Amino acid sequence: MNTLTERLTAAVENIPQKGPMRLIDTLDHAENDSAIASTKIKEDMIFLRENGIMDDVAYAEMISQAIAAFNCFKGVEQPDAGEWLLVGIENLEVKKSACIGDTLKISVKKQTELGSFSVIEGVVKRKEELLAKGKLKLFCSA
Amino acid sequence: MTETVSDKIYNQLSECMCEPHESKGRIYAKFSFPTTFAGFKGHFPDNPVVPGICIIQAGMLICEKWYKRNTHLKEILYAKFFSPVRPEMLIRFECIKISQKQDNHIIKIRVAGTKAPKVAEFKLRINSKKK
Repeated sequence: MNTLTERLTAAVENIPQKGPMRLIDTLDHAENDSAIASTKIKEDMIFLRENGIMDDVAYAEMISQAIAAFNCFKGVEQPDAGEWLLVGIENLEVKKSACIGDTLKISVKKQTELGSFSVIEGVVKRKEELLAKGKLKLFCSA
Repeated sequence: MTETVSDKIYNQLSECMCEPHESKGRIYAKFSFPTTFAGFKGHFPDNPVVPGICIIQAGMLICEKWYKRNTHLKEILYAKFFSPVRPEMLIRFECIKISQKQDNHIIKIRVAGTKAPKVAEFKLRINSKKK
């Protein structure tokens, strides 16, 4: 049987976003209906502007990928866990921007699940500082 | 001398935009994303789809270019994605200013394709500053 650490690592490996479009590094914690992922913004991040500041819309993708990793963890340890498509965003507020060198924590909580659709509440923080929060609606094509 | 193309999404988006114009107070522009677009790299392998957030970035870029001001996203009030956008697909943006209070704007953006009449729709609260 895989250890918890191995399962958390495998979950991130199994999300459908690969290469430069993968915006999360690790899934750190997962329980019943919530999870926490982390990422460090590096120089090669494709959503950076020339001044080293990340485009704020990337917060939505980070939340989306954190929940994809959580679903892989929960699921479903199969390598092909389906593709999670972002179908809606609601009241995603940007409080502050992130930049190169920042380590971000992305907390996600599943609010409702109906068939292949899930509504997720996501919060992005830099240490204790709130950077963004909002709701996402995702569709799993698996 | 070899020309280097930036691997950053924002820089590539400008190259994807064409025919920006204004009509009756609304701003229009078209976008087509080439197969080399950075957003397709890993989204998804063997099934490239423009990330939804890049559609929102494109909408903000149109406003930024048109008003010649830097824009900052304050809130995505809502966004709905109806149909996936594939490489080389031509999509048309219509930007409508709903309200403005000093440098804060509420903008509604509709996106349509040649085959799919509804691709996406979103409303943003943005802040703009002079460049």
